[in-house]
Amino acid sequence: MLFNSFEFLFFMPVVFLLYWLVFQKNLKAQNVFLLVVSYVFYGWWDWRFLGLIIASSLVDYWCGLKMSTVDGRQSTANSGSHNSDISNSSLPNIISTNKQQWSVDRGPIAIGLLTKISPWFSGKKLYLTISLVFNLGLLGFFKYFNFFIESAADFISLLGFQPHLSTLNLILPVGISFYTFQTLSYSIDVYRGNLKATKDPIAFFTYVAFFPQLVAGPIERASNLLPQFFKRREFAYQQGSDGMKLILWGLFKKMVIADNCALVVNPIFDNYQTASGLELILGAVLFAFQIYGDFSGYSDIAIGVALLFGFQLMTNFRTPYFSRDIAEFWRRWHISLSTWFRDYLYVPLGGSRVSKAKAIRNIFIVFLVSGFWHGANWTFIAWGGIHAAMFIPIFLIGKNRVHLDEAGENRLLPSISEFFKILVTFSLVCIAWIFFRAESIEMAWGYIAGIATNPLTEGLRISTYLLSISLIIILLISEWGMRSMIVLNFKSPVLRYFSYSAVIGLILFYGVFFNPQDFIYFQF
Amino acid sequence: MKLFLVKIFIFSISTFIIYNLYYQNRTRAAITVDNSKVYVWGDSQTVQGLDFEILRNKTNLEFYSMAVHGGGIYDFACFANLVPKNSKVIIGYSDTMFLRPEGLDYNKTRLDWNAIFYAGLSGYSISTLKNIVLKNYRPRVVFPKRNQNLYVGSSINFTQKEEIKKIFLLGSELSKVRIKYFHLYIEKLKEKGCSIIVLQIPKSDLLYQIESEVSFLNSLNLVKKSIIEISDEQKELNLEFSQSDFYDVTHLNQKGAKSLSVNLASFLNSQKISKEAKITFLTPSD
Repeated sequence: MLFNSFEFLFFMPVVFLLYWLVFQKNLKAQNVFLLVVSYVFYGWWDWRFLGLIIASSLVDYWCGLKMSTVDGRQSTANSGSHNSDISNSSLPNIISTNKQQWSVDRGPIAIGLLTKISPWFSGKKLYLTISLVFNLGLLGFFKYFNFFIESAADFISLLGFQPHLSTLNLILPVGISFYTFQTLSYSIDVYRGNLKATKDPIAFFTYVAFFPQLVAGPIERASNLLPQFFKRREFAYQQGSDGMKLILWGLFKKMVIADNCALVVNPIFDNYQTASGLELILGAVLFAFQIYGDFSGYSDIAIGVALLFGFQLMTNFRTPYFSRDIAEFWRRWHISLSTWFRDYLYVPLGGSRVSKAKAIRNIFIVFLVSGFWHGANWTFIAWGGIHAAMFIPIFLIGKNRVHLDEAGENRLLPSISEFFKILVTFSLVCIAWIFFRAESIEMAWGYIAGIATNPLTEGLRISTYLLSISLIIILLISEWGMRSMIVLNFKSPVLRYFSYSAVIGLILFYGVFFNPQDFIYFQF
Repeated sequence: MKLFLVKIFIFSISTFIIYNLYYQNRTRAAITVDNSKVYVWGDSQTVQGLDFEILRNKTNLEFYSMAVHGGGIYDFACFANLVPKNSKVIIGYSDTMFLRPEGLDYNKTRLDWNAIFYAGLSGYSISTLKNIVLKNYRPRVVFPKRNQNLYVGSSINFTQKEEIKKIFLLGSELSKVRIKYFHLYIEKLKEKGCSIIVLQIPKSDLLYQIESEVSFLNSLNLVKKSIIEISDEQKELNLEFSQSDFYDVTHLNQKGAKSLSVNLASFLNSQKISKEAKITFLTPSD
């Protein structure tokens, strides 16, 4: 079920009213209800793949319990009813600050399995290994199997042999990259002792399948989301109001910005060999806004919907196109994924507290894996590599943590220097997006070459792009104005209601309702 | 919670009302009942089969056409709801409007809740109804005076045969639902006091051949039979069409359209379209 679908328009109010009016008084009933509706939400797409989510939840729930048993950390009090778990589990209690454990065991992913194979089959590590193998195996099979087969075949062909490898006709289960990473975060945190394993299967299964963020994130850490399932939710007006604002703004970004951009971007990329140079530049720029509107729009809706049910999800985007360098861009773009890789890959690899050469290696690994996470294609790996190449010079001169504030903070407009930096950063990001959007590396190079070699304006009809450009200008002005506040949360009621009406008007008049584009990140 | 729900309710309802008012205002063209006006509906067969310049010149009547390529029965229902009472109406009838797969129907005339409701009652699927709503949420100007671009060509494109066959095969299950829906709104037009001509647009002999090959001629006969049943009278234009009158198996070319329009104009002049509410089934030939 898509957030911008007709079905969701009916699903959401019904679920919301039942949740607050029927199931409010009982925490367990709230969780069971959320679990059922989450499975309905996912099963609407293809119920057969529910089995994967349930299997992934089961394995990690069991591994968590086993790890806690081995560790002997599960207290007697905690081993009773689920409620005892709940009553003792405010956020600070659940997250242990066992720094010693952190340093000793850093590297459950990064440390080579081959070199240290035996310790992985004893004690806690055995269960962490099971969790890793199962979840990454699931992901590897459904998402990367054909890629590896095809790449192997290409490689063997290069050596002059005729390979006879066959691929499988696999359907990529929606959201598999998101929920496997979410469950992995639980297992790793339990292994590290940063999180107590839960004994409440309903809470855990609901945490994995929680419908607002199930299929495209934000990728929630167990330490943030899981404890929220142990506390009875009560409706708070302000929370509900903020949720509605985020939903509205997310729909605007998706239906107005992303889907309108898609209508012009797709033909440009499909005909990049004949498109004019200016059209190719426009194509890359508009795709940047398409993917931003699409993904951040989804995240806004997800966070908004979660707020309506009394849950706080992490922020996933903070106006990334106002970044003044690539490092800042990565602190603002897909935050839940970049912090996941930071905590579960970059830091265990040694992070930046190693030699320069190793730090550069670590950065490359993280960016390449991050690119590969997006899809089984060399274009995504190239995209990650480009970002690594753009990040490393800033890292080497020690300027990767310069821009920790907002651009133009406490000012109406950015300074000229900030404006220039934003423009340069955005241009670099757009170049990388060409690889992300292209179907092959050859196509990406062809596209970039076309910018330089195709006639600049031949056959260009600027009127085709005027609507998208105008809507993007509205988006940029609005986001600049709201960059340090909750969206549409103006103090003046007149301004607030005007902004609601304007956004609704824009959605009604310029939104793409019929045959909307799927959310791009669903395929990841 | 109460305050939240009340606010959401008020905001949603007021948005709906304001948008609906705007929508109705934008889509309802200034339609007035006038003795010199004739309202026309049909699908591409009508778009390509009638030459409104000829009709205007030869009858001194003003023709308002909502005929559109791919016109579906939902479009007809919207048309029927829009047409003023006691109007003169010509409906271009073709087999394809009953057999075309749902996805190929235009269904974009406007958002008409009454038509959607009855489409549901007639048996249209939920997904079709959903698509109709999504296709029509944005207002359009209806009842344009069309200056059509007639197809130019002198002979049938025989290569289409298999394609047409495939389309007809796909849609052959839909006819009963559409017939029911079509009848409902023909009756509604009649209840509105309209004088209706259901004009059968000519089709090529080749189409008859295709129809017999895919063996749903019976269901087509059912459509025709059902129109005859609800008609108060049946008339003929005594026209014969040859392959040189067709652009393809289902569409007339400029020559064929001229021939049909001249004859229809003569018929309209001879009949002076009575003000009596009745349904006339007009066929090109026996």
